Amino acid sequence: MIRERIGRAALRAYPPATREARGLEMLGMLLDAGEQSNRALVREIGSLVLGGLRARRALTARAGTRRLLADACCQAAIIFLMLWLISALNTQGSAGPSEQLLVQGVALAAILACALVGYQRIAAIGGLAALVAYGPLGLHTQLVGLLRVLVPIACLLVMVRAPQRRPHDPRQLLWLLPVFVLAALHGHAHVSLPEVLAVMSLGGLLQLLHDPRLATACSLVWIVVLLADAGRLTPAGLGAPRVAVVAAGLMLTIAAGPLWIMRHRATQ
Amino acid sequence: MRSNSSRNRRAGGLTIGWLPTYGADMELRPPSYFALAALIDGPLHGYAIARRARELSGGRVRISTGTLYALLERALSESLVIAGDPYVEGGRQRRDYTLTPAGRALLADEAARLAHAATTVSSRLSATSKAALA
Repeated sequence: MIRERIGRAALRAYPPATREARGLEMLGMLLDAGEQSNRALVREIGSLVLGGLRARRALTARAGTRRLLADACCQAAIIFLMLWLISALNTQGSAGPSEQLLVQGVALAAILACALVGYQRIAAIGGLAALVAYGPLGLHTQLVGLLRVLVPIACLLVMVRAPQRRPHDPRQLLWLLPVFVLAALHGHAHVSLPEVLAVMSLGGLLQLLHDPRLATACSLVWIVVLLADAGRLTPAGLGAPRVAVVAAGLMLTIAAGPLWIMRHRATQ
Repeated sequence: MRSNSSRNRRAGGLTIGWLPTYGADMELRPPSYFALAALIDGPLHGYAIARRARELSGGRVRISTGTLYALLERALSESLVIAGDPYVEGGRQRRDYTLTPAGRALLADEAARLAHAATTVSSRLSATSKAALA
């Protein structure tokens, strides 16, 4: 029974469609082959997980480079909205009740909810409108400030033109939960937006085994974070945590490489 | 008929690349070759294919679950095998796989190629060892 449970858990490495089509059959073979010894079972499970990751990678590669890049931009837009909402809620928490901040928080939460559920065109248009209404755009915007806004605008425009192709899923709203928790922690504890992004990037790095989209999305957000810090990055003022964060950002910025590798695989 | 280079690229692609191989220029790698060869005598289910492939290779090729199903997936997509309906045997879900004429032809080509390669090398070895003895 335990073996079967472990086998079923290992099967989760495969894409859902493969699991549905051949999952039970593969589980049967895994249990047969693993009957000889625990070592054989471990070997079979390892092979199953690797096979699953390869199947997922093949599926990702079939989407094509353009689609993968568009998806990465959409995910980056969602991350921008998440970080913006965390920041807005936190400002509201520290500055006290304000009608304008409340409206901004509610608007951003609604836009993010739309994006998460799958109404991405509506969310992207809302995001662009929010950038105009509440963003740092103005006559006195400096070049670095403008560059900071250009990346989110570009991601939102991609979201309008080529939203992610996935079914609408209200369960994705659960992602709002960590956003609200982080908003509550942000400022009160030692939680900063780069650290939140670092956690997301870790997830992106883990997913790089089969899918470069989240890592690429994080890379785009890191570019904005680095631009935001550009004025402040002096050798004297650069603490060890910040160095680590910047190094991680740079590392992720070059994580788009797997896209090209996958492109080659996809054309095989 | 596909070109050799395109078929080689396929064989070296996404699914079976980490197993011990004879070389990148082979038409079929040993796991694929022996898995397909296991089906010559008739349809078999996944675990039976792995056992038969091991027998046929003299124990040299061990095909694990992940490898076999990746390999079958590719063989199915290239119409080298066809899958039967699922059934339950001994509490396990099974499905039999059958070699298609295209699969048999590919195996025959590969066997002829391997035989030719073996003959060439053997004859050169014999010739040079006779020369060395003389």
